[in-house]
Amino acid sequence: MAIWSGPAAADSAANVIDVVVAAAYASDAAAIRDDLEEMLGRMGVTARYHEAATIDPKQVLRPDPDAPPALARVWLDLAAAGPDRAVVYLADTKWQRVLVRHVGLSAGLDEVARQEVSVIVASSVDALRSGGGLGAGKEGDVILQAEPPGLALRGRGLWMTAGATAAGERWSSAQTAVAAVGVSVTLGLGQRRPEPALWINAAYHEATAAGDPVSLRLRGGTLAVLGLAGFGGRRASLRLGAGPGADLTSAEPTAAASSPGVALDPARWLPSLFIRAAARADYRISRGILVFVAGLCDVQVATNRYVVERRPGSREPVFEPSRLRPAVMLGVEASILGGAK
Amino acid sequence: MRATAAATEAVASPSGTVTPPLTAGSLFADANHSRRDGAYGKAIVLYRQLRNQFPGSREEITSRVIVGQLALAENHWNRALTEFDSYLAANPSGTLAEEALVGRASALMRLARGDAERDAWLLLLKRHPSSMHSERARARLEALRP
Repeated sequence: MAIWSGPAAADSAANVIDVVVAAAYASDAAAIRDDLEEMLGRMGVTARYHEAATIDPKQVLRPDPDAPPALARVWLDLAAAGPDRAVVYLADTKWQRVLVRHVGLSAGLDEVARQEVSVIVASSVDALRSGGGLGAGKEGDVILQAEPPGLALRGRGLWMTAGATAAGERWSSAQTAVAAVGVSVTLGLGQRRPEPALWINAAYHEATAAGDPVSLRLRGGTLAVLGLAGFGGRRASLRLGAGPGADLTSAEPTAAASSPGVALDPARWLPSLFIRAAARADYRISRGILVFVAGLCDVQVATNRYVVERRPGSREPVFEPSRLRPAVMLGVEASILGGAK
Repeated sequence: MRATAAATEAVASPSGTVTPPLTAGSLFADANHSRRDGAYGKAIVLYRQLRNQFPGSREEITSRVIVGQLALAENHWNRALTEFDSYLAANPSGTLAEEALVGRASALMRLARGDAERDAWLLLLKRHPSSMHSERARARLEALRP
């Protein structure tokens, strides 16, 4: 970004603005500067100019506590926003709100476009100088709230999404699939590659293991916390990872009506631990919503075996879960923090 | 069209050198250059030449707002009003429409045309309800209240 310095330090902040220009060619930056100097000069406003390779909108939204006072701060993205538009960012005196205004470049950044940008900046500064507030002027303009400096998490690339999941799990060879529904929270750091993330999934599942003369109703919850490494772009990405998890399962035996002599143990809650490996494919369907499909495999640290004792010393399994529990999960998450992830 | 065609032809000077063809872009750039140099009189002449030779071009329509603002700065309220009106007539939703509406209302204020000024500020607020100039517009509407 820019280093805040300039010759106008002695001027009153009420009549000084900071202008950061990112242009593909130095001649474009110089032409804008000349135009602004003339237009602002007519209002008695001077500007401190800075050149930058690019304009990072995140930095525009993050007030710089070291920036000197200024009537307004302007960022002109004449280069990186795209070949069809320039972007004018204008922060008010307290750097609390930022106007984002797009200027179409139907003929490129020609003299007309440069004049339009200059007139918009000069007019906006004049409005601020006259005590006007920052507002969106026309359809397509955007007003953004600048972030308090201490909470500028997005600028560090921190993002969070949260949503719901549905999964089909395979607990044993005797069962087809057990349905599980849950909630999912993903917390990541977008500025690194591969992109690190923490994925927390809590789910509820319920199944019945039918047997003769005893059946077993199993229900409970699962909590898994995985570390993920993400690969790919903003729209689609693949995340691979692993982490620990825990099950808490209620096992409630029931006897068939034709077996009146069966003595049932009471229902009990049984904890168990597992390690989960995951491959998750994310697809962003809009700026704030993503869907994903994940293949999971839980490796049970220890399995609980449920048996019926027909006579002392003779035990037959009612339900014997596999050590491996594969699953397919579908999920949808919405952006909670850092929507531009 | 004939004027445009004639203006874009290269012209040989007596010394044999070729003068670049005059285009709307080059005239607009020259006018802006003069304005940046503070030669406002020369700039106005060039903007006027642009209007005569390339009416309706992007450059000429954009220049109407610039000339209007120059006229405001020089207290030529009627001329400013004409320029802003002509921009809005040609490009009612153009990039500089908001600025033209503000300039138009400002010119009417200077001309003490209260009813027209009130309509102008109301039009600004209708088309750009969150404009940076909206506070000024509301203040003027309050002052103009009978």
